[in-house]
Amino acid sequence: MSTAADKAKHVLTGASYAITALEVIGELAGQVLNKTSYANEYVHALDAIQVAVKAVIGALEGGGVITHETVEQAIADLRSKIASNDAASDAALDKRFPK
Amino acid sequence: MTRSRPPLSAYFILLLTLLLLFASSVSCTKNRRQETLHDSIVAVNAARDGLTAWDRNHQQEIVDKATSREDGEAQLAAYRERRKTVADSFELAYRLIAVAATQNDDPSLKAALTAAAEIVDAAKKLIGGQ
Repeated sequence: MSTAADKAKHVLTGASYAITALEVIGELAGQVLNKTSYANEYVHALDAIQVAVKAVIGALEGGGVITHETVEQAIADLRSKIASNDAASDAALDKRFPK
Repeated sequence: MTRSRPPLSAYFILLLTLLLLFASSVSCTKNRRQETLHDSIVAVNAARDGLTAWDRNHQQEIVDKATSREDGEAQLAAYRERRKTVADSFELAYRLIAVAATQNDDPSLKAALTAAAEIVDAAKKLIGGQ
């Protein structure tokens, strides 16, 4: 079996799932926005779509060699985002209930 | 004030499930170790990003619903303790993927793929309130 055929099949399979995922997410986002005017829900919808798009692009690009640097960067990103979230919520709590 | 909660938990669970399904199906057709691991790390990254996006809003909800500073601090601390278990599991999954990427044996690949599937499931459970 040719490598090009494998690659084409991979891309088509990935694209099919990607389109399905994005269609479902888009529909759900629409439902959320129709049911509520809360800003947080809007942020959720946009975040979810962004996550899906990044995942799809990453999967379709394929190929990159995984190294310890790759995973250390992924772990650092996780820690950084969690620390940022914690700082933001601590600040929000301070603002709501000043010391 | 109470309000009916939109199906955001279900919404993220569906997203993560679709991403995992997408990654695993692609892996099956390629049958190549590095690309399988690449797909796994994409799925874990997606789960990580979904979790951190949800985490930001969930903590804000805790602050919004807190009845006092002490109540807010206690609830945030309790939530962060539960989240720590999931965050630690993310780190383990990433490191198992890195190990599998440098080896050529089945056990390390199986361990990495299992860890990747488990962390996506753990993220789903945390978001789903389990």
